[in-house]
Amino acid sequence: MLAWTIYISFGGALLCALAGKRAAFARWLALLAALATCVVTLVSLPHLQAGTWATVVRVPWLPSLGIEYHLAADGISVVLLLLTGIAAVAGILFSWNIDHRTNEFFAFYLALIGGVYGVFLSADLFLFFVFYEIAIVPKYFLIAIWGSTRREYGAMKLALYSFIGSAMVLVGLIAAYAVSGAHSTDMVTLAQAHYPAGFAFFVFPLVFTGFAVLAGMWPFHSWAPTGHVAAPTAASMLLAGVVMKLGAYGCLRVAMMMLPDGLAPWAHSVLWLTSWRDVFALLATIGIVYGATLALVQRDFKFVIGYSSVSHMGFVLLGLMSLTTVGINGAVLQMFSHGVIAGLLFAVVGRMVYARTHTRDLDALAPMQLARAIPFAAVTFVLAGMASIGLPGFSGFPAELQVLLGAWHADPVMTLCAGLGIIIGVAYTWRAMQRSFFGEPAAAGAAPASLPPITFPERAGAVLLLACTLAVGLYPRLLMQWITPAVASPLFDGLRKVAGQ
Amino acid sequence: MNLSAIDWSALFHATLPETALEVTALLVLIVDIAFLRRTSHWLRFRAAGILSFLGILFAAVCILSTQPITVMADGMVAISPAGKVVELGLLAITALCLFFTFDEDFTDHVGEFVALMLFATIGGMLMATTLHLLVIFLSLELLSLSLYILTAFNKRSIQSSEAALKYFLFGGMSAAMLLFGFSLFYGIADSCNVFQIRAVIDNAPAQDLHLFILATLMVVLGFGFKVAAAPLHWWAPDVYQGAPAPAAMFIGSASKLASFYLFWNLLPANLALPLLVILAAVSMLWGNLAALAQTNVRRLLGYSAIAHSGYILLAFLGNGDATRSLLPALIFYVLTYSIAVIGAFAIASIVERETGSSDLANFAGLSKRSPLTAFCLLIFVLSMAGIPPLAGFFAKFNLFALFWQQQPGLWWLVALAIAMSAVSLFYYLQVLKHAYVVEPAETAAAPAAQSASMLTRFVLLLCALVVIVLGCNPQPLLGLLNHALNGMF
Repeated sequence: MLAWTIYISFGGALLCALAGKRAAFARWLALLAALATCVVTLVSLPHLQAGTWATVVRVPWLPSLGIEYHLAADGISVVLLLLTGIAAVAGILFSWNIDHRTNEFFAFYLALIGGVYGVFLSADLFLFFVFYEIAIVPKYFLIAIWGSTRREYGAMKLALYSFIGSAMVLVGLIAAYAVSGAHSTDMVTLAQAHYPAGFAFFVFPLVFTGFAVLAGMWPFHSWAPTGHVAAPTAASMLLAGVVMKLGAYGCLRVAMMMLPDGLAPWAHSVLWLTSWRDVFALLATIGIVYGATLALVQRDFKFVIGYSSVSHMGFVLLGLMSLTTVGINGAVLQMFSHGVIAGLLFAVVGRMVYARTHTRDLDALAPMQLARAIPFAAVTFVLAGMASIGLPGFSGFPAELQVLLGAWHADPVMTLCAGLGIIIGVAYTWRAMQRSFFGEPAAAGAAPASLPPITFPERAGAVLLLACTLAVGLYPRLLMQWITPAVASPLFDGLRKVAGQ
Repeated sequence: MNLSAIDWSALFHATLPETALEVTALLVLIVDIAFLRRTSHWLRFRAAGILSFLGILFAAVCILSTQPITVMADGMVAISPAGKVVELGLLAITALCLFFTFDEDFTDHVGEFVALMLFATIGGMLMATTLHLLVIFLSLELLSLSLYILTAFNKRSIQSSEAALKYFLFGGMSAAMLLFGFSLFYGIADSCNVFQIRAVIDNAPAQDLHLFILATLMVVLGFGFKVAAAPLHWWAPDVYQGAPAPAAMFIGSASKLASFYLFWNLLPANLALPLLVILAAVSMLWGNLAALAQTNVRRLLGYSAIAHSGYILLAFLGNGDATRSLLPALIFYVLTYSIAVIGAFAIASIVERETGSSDLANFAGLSKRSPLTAFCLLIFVLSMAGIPPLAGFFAKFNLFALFWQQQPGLWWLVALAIAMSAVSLFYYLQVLKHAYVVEPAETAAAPAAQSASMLTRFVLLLCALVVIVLGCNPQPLLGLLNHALNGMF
């Protein structure tokens, strides 16, 4: 049943591509397809168990290489599938105004969604990789054709970073396949295979880094801000909302589940680092603080959000690298939370503000008194900003709290630095909010800029995303009931062994 | 050799496919020159093509119905199951190239062009069905000489002549080296049969190997030239850019298939290993890096072909006896690459006819002009770049994974190949960027009306679908190849 999320997306993409010049048709078709995938996910929820990675489809694909078409889902996949559905629907609502090559836009959009669904459902590493790459190509075109500032540069940079990351993953995949001698690319089989001593030491960082490039890990993050800024609103929403999660999910599902031995302590410590865990945790922490600091000094509104994404994705990686159950739980919840919140922020900046004012320069926005011109956008941004800061009641709070709790067990110093990142987060969100929406009028008594009102699809999308972040923030068990058993499942025993729990 | 010991009727049967093509080529010449001289290109290319299809079909049926023959006439004819597969592949590729001549009008000598293409195919087919050094050399020259002429065929273009001259000069040199290597082999082993030579090498004491090494070196140099492996690739970019499109397609696909297979049989793997490692690594690096700087799509394809030769060379570096298991991967790679490269050339040629040149800038707005062609280009280019779920990705994965299993010590070659594939994305995306993203410059002349016929576009779409299907479901073809190739020799 769940497999239909993939087929519906690709089918919708094909139909949109064939739709010719019928823009309205493509729009509605895309919306229906995205809604249908949400429905499919929701309908299959009762049949799934959070703690087991239950097979959805399993048929031989390439018997001569032992490759199978194997889809499976557990609690972690479910959370990300839900996120994908929500982000997809919201993204379409916020791209209702696309009227340049509309059918192609939605064709690429749905192809991307289909690839993302495929990644979150794959239980075979080869299949995982296939979907992972399928998701990259449409991103390039979405940004290069419909983007704004330096779109061709941003698109090419993003594509090259993605492909270099996936090339690293491919080397790891082929190495694991060839060295394990398992004649299978099934992830569980590969995870249980015996590798020669030292294999994980070299291959784990390769695969982890390959995925972490897409998760925006410092210092491989620089595609993210330029890509986000160049992308059209819906593509930024998807980029931040789900595509960066592909990377984080790959880190957890492939690198950490398959090669947990790579996280074992080294024989010698280098500086004060004693394992790859320390290295990546350090990079994640640097990413948190660095992203937040850069967000503080940006003049372009979208760059603020772009760098804040780097910062928030640092929490995901830090949570993963805490190697504690609570930290990994928090990381998965943060994937969902950031997906929704970043989507909302990009929607406000890209669609509600930029599409109306045609500028994202914070200094230029200040005199427009946007809070009075488009109050709905202001309210949305204030709420989204509060969620992004991590105020209780929004989904960011339980997520980042758990990450910090987990990280505290592992390394208090880094946790303190990450906490510093949250404080800077308050500052940059406040600054951006104040300058963009609540600026002083150019002259006393000047009327606010007259802008087209917020349309219905925008309101619907904003309400949808806000409802999600509030629901999870007020009642985290909604998702934690899926995440906790999945992280506690035997699939991750290897990690617990390495962490010494 | 005792001539009376040869069963001439069996020999005739064994070479019936080649003979059939020869007759077809002569028929094409006669029909074209005698009856169609004064008619339009449209009719002449179609008449020649359809005649050739009939001959190709007949040859294919002959191949399918003959039994494999181990060795005949001192190895002059040796039809292995693998050779049959290669022959069939060559015929299919030739047919495809001929399809794309239908819209061409670069020459008034239609019959000669098509006949030469068939002669080249015959050369390739003979290369796949012999183990005798003399026959190998003759068939290789038949192929090469036909290709030199085909390259020069566009007399209106100075680039075509330049490319042909370069191709000819380099080719002559490499043929000389090859012949020198062959003569050394013959001198040492006192036989022209590849098997007997290999047996002599295997039994030779180590101190006697240096002559073999010299001979192998010569052969590898000649081979590197044929498949455009760096640093013996100098002719390739010029030929890919200057030759008439169907000829360039043929050189990029059929000629490679035949050469790779021939040298697969010929090269004493262990002696050539270090040299081949160098050729492979240099080709990947040079081809990909040089392609980054290209502004002409055909030239870009030329450099990317060098890079692909580098990847394919991995199949030659297997471990001793297990090397055999890499042959299906090799053939699968070359076949799928051939479809993609033929398709890409066909589209480049369409663009050339519509806008006057195949520069990157001329691809601007292609997706608006003809969405179908642009889509096909997307598929072909992404397949060459190795993006799943297209055939090119699976071909790479299959080859690399098997290679790593056999030669874990050379893992860095796989890593280099994958890294270079990531680099190649940049220039492949440049092509797609122009086709999909860039708006045509306002100063550019309005492109001529759709120059591609319905048939051409249909065949293009068919090729694209084949690339997609072979990528999503490679098992049938791969299973077939495994089945056919494991039972050989």
